[in-house]
Amino acid sequence: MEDREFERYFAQAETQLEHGAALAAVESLRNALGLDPNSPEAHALLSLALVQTKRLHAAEYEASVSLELEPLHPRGHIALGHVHLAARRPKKARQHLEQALELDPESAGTLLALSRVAQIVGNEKERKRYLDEALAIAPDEADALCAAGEYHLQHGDQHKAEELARAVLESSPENVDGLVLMGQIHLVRGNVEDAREHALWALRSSASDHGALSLIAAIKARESFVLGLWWRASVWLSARGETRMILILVVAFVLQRLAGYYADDNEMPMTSSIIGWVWLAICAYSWIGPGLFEAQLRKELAGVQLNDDF
Amino acid sequence: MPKYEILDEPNPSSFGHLACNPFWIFLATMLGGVWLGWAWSAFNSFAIGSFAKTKELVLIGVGLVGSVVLTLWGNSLLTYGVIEPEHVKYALTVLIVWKLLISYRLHLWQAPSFQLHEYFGGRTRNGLLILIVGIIARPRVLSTFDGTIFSFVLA
Repeated sequence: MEDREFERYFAQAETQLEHGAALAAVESLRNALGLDPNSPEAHALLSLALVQTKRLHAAEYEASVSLELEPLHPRGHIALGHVHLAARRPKKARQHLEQALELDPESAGTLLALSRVAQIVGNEKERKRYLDEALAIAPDEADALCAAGEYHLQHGDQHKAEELARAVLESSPENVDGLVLMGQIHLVRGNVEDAREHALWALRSSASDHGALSLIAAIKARESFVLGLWWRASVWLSARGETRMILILVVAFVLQRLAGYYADDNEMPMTSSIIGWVWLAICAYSWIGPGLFEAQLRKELAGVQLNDDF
Repeated sequence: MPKYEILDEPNPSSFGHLACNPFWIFLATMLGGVWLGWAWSAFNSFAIGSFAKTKELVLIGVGLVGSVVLTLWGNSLLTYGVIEPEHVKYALTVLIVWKLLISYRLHLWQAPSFQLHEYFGGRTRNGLLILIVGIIARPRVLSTFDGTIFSFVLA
């Protein structure tokens, strides 16, 4: 009886995760693990769901539990790889994802994750190789087609990217990743309204989709220079990882302090006060910016009508 | 049916209703001083039942010890004439940077727990009033330590 219940919750979580409903998947897996706390599969899946909700500390713990229970479990390694990937630790991510690939060489998902690792370390040749391998294994899989489309878009080949996005949307017109990719292509071309339409369309199917929300945010950033500056700066900083972000901010603080002191010591009161005011403006902007940006985003999202399937 | 407990889920104390967004605490550290910010951060950690509570408390301890060491070191450099009195402000930047590093790290550890506290329906308070009181009280609090290293350590 309990086994059947466990299977039901587990299958439910898999479906929820496939549809981007990570929070619901976490709840289903919490129920599943309440029935069988020693299932490596459920711990690994919970880890993947937690990565999607950015709860990396717990995700790392769950993936480790999964690997403790079954050290050669591919999904455990995939989960830990994704945790390290999300935490911007490419070396460790690669290590676990390669191990997962050894255990399951036909996994297109693992190859796509490895292509992300290659992207983070700036090895575009390797990224392309992994994408080609993933497409060879799963030529019709939307994830692989969209990842390849994103690659081509970033390398300036809009035509190829559009071809891939259309291939996804022809077989599945409501595919969120396909819609987001098409929206990105429109944004690159400067068609802001078309980009917005695709982002909102994607959000109708999956209200919490990270890609669709990022696209909407990018559109808002494009529309407002002042808020766009904050958005770009924070994207750039968070892409560096927490430790580097702290160091960059502290170095900026030290530089302005030293510049101010230097100006004081060399009797340049005007320069000193300009430095002080500019720094104050940056601080105020970085405190107010996120609130304004979020308010604009909420306004935009308030108009989204979820479709019946959601 | 038994439910599995996830590691990072907050375990609020009886002070859970007094939890504040760590952003206010970070501001309080910058504008009021570490006497307020770090003490408030420790309290908030207990209030929300932060999953990184132990790490946060250890970090505050490391921050205080580091601040004492840096202050004593700076003081000895001044005493032995290694730095001139007019360059003390440059040396003090090191102490400020140290406190900022600790405070920022604290903020980044506590913020996810706070978000989970909110997500699970925990009550939260606006920290603006404490921040304002802290800024006003700052000179009075720090003046009680005048002439001791703690006027630098807790600033």
